[in-house]
Amino acid sequence: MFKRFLYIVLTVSFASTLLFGCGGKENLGSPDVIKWVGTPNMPVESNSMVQKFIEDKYNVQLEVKSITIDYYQKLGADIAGGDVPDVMFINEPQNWQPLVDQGLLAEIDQDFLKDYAPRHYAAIEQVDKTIWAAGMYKDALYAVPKIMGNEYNTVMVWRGDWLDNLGIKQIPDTIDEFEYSFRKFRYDDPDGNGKKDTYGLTGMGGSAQRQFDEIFGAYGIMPGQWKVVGDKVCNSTTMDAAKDVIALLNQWYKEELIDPEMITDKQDNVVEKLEQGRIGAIHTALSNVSMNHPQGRSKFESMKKTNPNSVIEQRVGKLPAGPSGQRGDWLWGPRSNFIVFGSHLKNDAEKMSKILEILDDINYDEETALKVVFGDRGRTYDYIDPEIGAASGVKYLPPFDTDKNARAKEGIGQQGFFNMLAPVSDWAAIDVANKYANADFKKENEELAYWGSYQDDLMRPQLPSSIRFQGDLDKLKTTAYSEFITGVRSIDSWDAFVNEYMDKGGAILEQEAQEYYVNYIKDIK
Amino acid sequence: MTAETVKNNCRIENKKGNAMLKNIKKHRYLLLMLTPGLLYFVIFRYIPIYGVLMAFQDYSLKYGVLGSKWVGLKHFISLFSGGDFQLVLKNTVLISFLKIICGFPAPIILALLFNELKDGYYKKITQTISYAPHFFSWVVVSGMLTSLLSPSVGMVNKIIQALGGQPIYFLADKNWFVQIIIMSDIWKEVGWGSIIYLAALAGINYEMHEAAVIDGASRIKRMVYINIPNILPTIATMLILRMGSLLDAGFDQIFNLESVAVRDVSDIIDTYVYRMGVGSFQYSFASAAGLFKSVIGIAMVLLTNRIARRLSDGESSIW
Repeated sequence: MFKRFLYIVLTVSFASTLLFGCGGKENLGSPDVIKWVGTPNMPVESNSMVQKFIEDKYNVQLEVKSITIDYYQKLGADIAGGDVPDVMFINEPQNWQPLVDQGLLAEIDQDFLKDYAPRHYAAIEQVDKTIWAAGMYKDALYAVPKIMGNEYNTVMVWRGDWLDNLGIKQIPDTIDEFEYSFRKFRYDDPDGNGKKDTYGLTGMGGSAQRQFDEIFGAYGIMPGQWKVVGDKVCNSTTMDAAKDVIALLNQWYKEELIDPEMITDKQDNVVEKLEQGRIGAIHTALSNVSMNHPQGRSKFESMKKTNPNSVIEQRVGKLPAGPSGQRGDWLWGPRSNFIVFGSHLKNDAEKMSKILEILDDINYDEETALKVVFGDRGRTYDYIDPEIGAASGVKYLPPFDTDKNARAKEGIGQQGFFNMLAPVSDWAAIDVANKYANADFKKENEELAYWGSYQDDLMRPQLPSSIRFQGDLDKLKTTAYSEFITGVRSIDSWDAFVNEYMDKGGAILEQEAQEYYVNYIKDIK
Repeated sequence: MTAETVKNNCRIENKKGNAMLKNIKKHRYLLLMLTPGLLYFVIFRYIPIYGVLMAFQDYSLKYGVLGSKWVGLKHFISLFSGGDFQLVLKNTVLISFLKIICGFPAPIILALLFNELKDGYYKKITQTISYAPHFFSWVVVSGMLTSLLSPSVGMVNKIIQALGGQPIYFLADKNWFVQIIIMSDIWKEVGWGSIIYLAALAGINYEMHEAAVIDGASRIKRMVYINIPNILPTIATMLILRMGSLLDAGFDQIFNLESVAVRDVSDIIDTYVYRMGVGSFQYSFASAAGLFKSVIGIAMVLLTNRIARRLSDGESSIW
C-alpha cells in the first residue's frame, strides 16, 4: 500500500516541473534603507568596507544583495515574494521590458536624471545621443543605459613561423593579400611536415554575430545588424552586399582555404587550432595578445608553461582591408547594460535622487571610484610600478589579487557591484580609468585595431516581435550562411533564402525596426 | 512471506483498534526516515503544481498567480504555431524513443554482467569507472566528444583512416548526429543506471541459485531463468517511469553538441523553447511548454502501466 502510494507520488511529481511563485504584498521596508542589487557575478558580503564607506559618505543605509548565479531566476523569485529592489542591474531590454509590462519599474524623468547624475547624463550626450533610445520603452525612459567605454575592433594574429617559411615578408593587409597567404598556407606546406594538413582560416559557424565577421567587415556589411540607408532601416543579413561576401567565402571553401570544421568551431578551440598549427590566422581582441596588456601577458605565460616547446610567434596585424579600404568586425556599440528602479520609487523622488547621486559619484569621481573598486592604497591595492605611479596602472595586493572571498569581505572588485555605471571594458568612467591605463597599449590599440565602425545603427533594439521571431531567424541565418559557404546550398538560391527569412518574421521585424527608428532615433540624430 | 501476511491479516481483524497504531509503533524509525522524503515531495513537487495556472495567464510577478490576467490558450497557441514546431516534435520523439529503445536495456545488461563478477578490486574499479561519466556535465563531455570525433585530429577518425577509410565529420553529418547522441548518452548514463538493477539482483534469494547449481544449471541458464525474472518488476517500474519523460530528449546534451549543419535533426522541444523564450521572466510560456510535456508524459506513464499490467497479470505494473 505504502509502496504503491510512493510510486504515485513519484509519478505525479514528473508533472510538476513548474516554478514556485506567489503574489505577496509589496514589502517596501524602511524608507531610508536602499535595497541594492548590484551587477551579478561579483560576490559581496553584507557590511563590507565599501558598504560602510558609502553609508557614511552619503548618509544612507544599504541592504545589499549579491547574486552570483541564476540572476534572473533569483531576482524574479524575490520580486514575486514582494521584495522589489530599489535599484538593480539588468542586462538587455528583453530582460527589463517584461518588468515594465508588469508595472514593476519606475519611470525615470530625463531632466531628473540630468539634475542628480549630471556627469553620466553629459557622458551619454557626448558619446552618442542614440544611447537614450535604448532605455526608452512605450515612449518613456525606464532604464538608465550604461556606456560601453573603450570598445575596439580586433586584430589578426598570424603564425609568424609560417609566414617566414613561406617567404611572406609583410604581414598581409588587403583581402587579396589575405587570399594569397591562405592559399600558400593550404598548398605550400607551411609547417614543413610533408602533409597537406593546414588551412588558411576557420569561422565560428554557429555564431549569429561572429560568422566570418572580419571578412564581411572588409566589404562594408555586417550581417545581423540594422543598417540605416538614407532614412530606411535595412537588415544587413539579407542585403545583396552580404551575398557577394558569401560568394567569396564559398569560393575559398571550394579551394579548401577554409577549414571544413568551421561548422563546429567555437571561440575557444579556434585559438587552439592556431597554436596546434592547423590554421594560419585568427582574429581576436588585441588585449588577448598584446604584451602591453595584463591579459595578453598572462595568456602568453600560461602558454609557455603548458607547452614550452611549441610557443608560437604570434605576429599581430590589422583586419583585412576590402576593395574600398574598409575594415572592421562586429562591435556591440556604445550602449551597454542598464540600471533600473523599482516601481515604488515613482513616489519617492528623494530616494531615487540619492541613488543617482551615489552612482554618478562612484563612477565619475576619481577618489570615490578608486575607493569603491580597489579599496585602500597600500592595504588592498597599489600601483603596478610605484615609480611611474598611476599611469602604470593599479593592481590588487595579495590576498585580494586572487582571493575573491577576501574581496567580497571588503566589497571591492572590478565587476561593478557598487559601481554599476562603470563601462564594460573599464572599472570606472573612461576619463578616470584612462589615467590608470597603460599608454603603450592605448597607442597600440589605436594603430592596429581602432576602426570604430560596425555597430548596430539602432543599438540592438528589442522590438515588439523580437521574442517571437529572433531566435528562429538567427537559426535560419547561421544555417543558411553555412550552407551557402560550404556549397550545400547554391548561391543561386539566395533570393529564396531572403524570401524565407522575410516570411518567417524578417519582414515584420524590419517594419518594426523602421517604426522604432522613426519614433526614437531619427530626431535625436 | 505469504503465510505471515495471512497471519497478520487475521490479527488485524481480531484486534482492529490498535493494530494500526501497533504497526506504526513497530515501524516508527522507518516511518521517521521516510518523512523528510515525503515532505520534500509535498513541498517542492505537490504544492507548486498550482503554478500550472501560469500557463493560462500572462503571469505577472507583481500580481502573482491569483491576480494575473487570464489569457486562455494563448501561450499554447504560440507554442504550437511556431513554424518549426512539427519538425521539433518529430525530432524530440524520435531521439527520445531511440534513447529508450537502445539506452534502456543497456544498464540491465551491464548489471547482469557485473553481477557475474566475483567481488573484489576488479569489480569495484570497473563499476566505479562505469558510473564516473554520470558526474561529468555535458559541457565537458561535449568538449571531449568534439575533439575525439574531429575529422582531422580526432582519435576515432585516425583509426578509421589507419584502417583505410575516409574520415567522417560525425558531429556535422545528419546521418551520424542522432547516433552519436544516443551512443554518448548510453556511455554517460549506463553505469549509473545499472546501480538500481544491481540492488535488485542483490536481493535475489541465494537459495534459488544454490538449488539451480545442484541441478546443473549453467551461468547463462541461471541468468535467464533466475536473475531476469526476479528483476522484471524493477525493470517494468523503471520503464514506466522512464516513459514519463518521453519529451525530455536531453537539452544539455543537444544544446552543447548541435551545430548549424545538423539542426534539421537536432532541434528538439527544449532548444525550441529556449529560442522562443529569449527574454527573461517568460514564466507563462515556459509553463505552457512544461505542462504540454508533462501531459504527454503522464499519458505515456498510464499507457505503459496499462500494457505492463496486461502482460504481467498485474504483477509488474505500478498500480
